[in-house]
Amino acid sequence: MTDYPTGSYVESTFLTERPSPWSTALGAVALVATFGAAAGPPGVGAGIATALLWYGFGTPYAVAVGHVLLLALFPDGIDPISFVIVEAGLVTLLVVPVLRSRAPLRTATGTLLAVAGLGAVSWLAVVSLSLWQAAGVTAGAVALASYGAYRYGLVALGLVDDEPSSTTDE
Amino acid sequence: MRPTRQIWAVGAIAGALAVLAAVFARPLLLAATVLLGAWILVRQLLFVRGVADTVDSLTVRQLPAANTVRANAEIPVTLEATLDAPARLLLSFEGGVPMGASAAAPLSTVLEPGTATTRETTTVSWPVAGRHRFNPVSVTATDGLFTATMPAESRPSVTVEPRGPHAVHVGRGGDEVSIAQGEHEAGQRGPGLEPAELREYVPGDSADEIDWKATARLNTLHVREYETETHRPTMLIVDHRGGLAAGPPGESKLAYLREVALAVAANARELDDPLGLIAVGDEGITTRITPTTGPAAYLSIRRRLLDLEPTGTDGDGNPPETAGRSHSVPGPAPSPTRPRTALSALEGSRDAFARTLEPYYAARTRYDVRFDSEPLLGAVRTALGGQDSRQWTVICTDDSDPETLYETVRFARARGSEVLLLLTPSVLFATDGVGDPDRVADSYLEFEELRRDLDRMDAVTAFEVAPQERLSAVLETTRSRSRGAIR
Repeated sequence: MTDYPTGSYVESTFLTERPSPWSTALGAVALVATFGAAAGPPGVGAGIATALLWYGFGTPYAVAVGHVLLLALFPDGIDPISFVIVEAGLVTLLVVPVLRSRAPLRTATGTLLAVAGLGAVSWLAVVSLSLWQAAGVTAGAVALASYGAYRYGLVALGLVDDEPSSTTDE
Repeated sequence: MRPTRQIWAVGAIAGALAVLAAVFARPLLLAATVLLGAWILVRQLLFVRGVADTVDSLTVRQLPAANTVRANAEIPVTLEATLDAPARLLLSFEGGVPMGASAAAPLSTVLEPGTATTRETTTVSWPVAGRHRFNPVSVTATDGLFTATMPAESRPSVTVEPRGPHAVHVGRGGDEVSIAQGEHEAGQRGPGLEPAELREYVPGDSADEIDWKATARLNTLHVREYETETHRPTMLIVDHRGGLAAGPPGESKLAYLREVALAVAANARELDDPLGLIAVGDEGITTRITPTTGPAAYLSIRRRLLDLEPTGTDGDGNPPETAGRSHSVPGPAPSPTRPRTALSALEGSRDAFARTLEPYYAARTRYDVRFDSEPLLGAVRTALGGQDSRQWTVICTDDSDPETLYETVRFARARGSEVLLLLTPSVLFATDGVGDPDRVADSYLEFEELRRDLDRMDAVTAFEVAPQERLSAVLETTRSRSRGAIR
């Protein structure tokens, strides 16, 4: 089975229709506004670039590039308030597409809960461990959660074999 | 559930950002890892829920055009998938064609996002006889980020019947009869188990035969007589001349006669009757086994019957033109029944392989006794020469030469043998007259007249042996014609 081609725009077909103009505009404005509020005019430029990337390639690339641009905007480190503001803008990019799902409220809530949960684990790791360890814990938490979802999927789709496999030649 | 390349790419970016965060001591990048992780998790759960809902509303069916087919037949098989409502997934379906079948094109179809039904038909051939059950349909769902494959239970069965005689009809004018024999009366009284008659004692009767209970009851001497049972020698005369090759592959006249001859042999074995076999080829007798009992003899006759193949085919393996037959039924002719073809193919090459095989093919038709003409009559003469007059002669042949047939039967009767004549009507095995039902019906009526004439002869029973379906079709034509004539 080959992967279903979705072009350069990375998104699930469950959220196939791209965000409507209104929600796209909302996401873009939120992003530019938060970047601008946190970093001034250069932030507006970075926000516009990230918004364009979001529109053309989807959320993951926008999130990744947006954070790299933030590194350039805040070479000496970002203060907590600016961090919260720009992250709020980026979380908007996660929430807007799921508004097109069949259960938008539930999916949006799930998205926020996932961000909150993984964010809490990461923050705890950063404040209590070395950065290398924190990076490992964050990546491990993502991998573990994803594996849990994978196992849940097997059960939900009935793909788990109930019969214990025989280990002897009978 | 497997991630696609896109998910692996996003995961790799998340991991790379985490590493960069540690390398450059910038915890800000860990926030990107968190957001990307959340994005992956949400898509994963969306996929699971979406696939579960889709599968619940999905109906997949594998629909073979027939549940019973003949070996090597081809039938269309349709793979159909229907959703209650259009899905937002791409669904691919892979049909489960059984191992014993082969599809001309893959039995697969795709249901695009936004569509609710799809169907694909392909031709499947069934070379292996038996009951074949379809494997479950493999359903693969993908949303572009994840892929899951699961089985869908739609497993119809197709029964493949081997090529060969089916629904063998043995009867008179379309009415089926049984040729199985019970125990035979000798027509004589004597020692036996079956009481036959109670009669008064006459001088000369043995005292051992007096039934004392009957004598006491009736006050005069009475004798009880018993039916004498006997074994009846049976001689099977099977015609396997070139003309008996007529018919579709595996369903020739000889194939049908073979089935009936095997039934007669089995019946004789059951009754412990002595059984003999004479096989008649184009030039004389190819097999001669005198009537005898015992498992080895029955087995030998059975094996020989199964080995019989039409003689007198030409170098290309085709029967002579006079037989008036052509194989219009599709499907490869079974090569083992065409030894002469194989032999002629070997003649061209003189390598070790050909030299090794040649004797096996060359020796297939060896004549025991040769006749210049009328081998069937010659065979019956041989069969009845110096034999017990109580012998039951079963002649399996066709109606291609009525004159010789009459002569053969008359000869057998003159020697006091009871005759069972099993005849295959050529018209029901010819393929060139299929298009004209009236002509076929006329030919069948001619055959029926011949059969009746033979059947009317004293101690002669003549039955037709034919494919049930063909015969039914011809009888239907004759009936509708006669109804039309009455009106």
